[in-house]
Amino acid sequence: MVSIIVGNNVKRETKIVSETSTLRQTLESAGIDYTRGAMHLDGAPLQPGDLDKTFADFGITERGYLLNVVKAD
Amino acid sequence: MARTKIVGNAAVITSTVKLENIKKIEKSTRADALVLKGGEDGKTPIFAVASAPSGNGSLNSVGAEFANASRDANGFAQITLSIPSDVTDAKEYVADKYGAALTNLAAVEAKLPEVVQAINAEHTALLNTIEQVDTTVAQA
Repeated sequence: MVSIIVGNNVKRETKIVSETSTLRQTLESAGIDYTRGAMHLDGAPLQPGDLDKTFADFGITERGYLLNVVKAD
Repeated sequence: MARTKIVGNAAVITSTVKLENIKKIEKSTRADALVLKGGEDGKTPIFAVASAPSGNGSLNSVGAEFANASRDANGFAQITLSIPSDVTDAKEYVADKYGAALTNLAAVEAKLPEVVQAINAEHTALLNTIEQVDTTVAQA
């Protein structure tokens, strides 16, 4: 299982999910709109297609941060 | 509390809860019962129990994933872990590496029997509201 802090600029919550859960499933179960900003996993930007990969695919086996960050200049 | 048996380089953790009951709770509206909460506000998930579709299951500091059921009539949920071959005291290794997780697992297991009971009662009540109409027509 993986403990993920998932959220955006205004809302963050901890979810414990399977390592085989995809990033998209985790975002959707937390009700995070991932179309509004740049997606980051543990501070690193995600690429198109990455949302359908699992945490295990990224080598995350225990804890991590999955955030949608809107940068307003 | 879950029991652990060590055979060679494998440690098998057997829960006090049946695998089918974990799956039943996951499907129900009471799936929150599988999550142990804590932290400063007492609302942060700190440990979760789940079923896994395949594999040997897994156990770490944040959760337990059960993939198999014991091969007896009870069908208790099980996880099979590997112990590194260079470990000399396997019991101490398991207690040291998984002790906190097993304690949290016990806390979740303790509240599950009454949850299963409530789900079964709801299911029985639901079945009582469903009527199956006999549509067979008598042949002339």
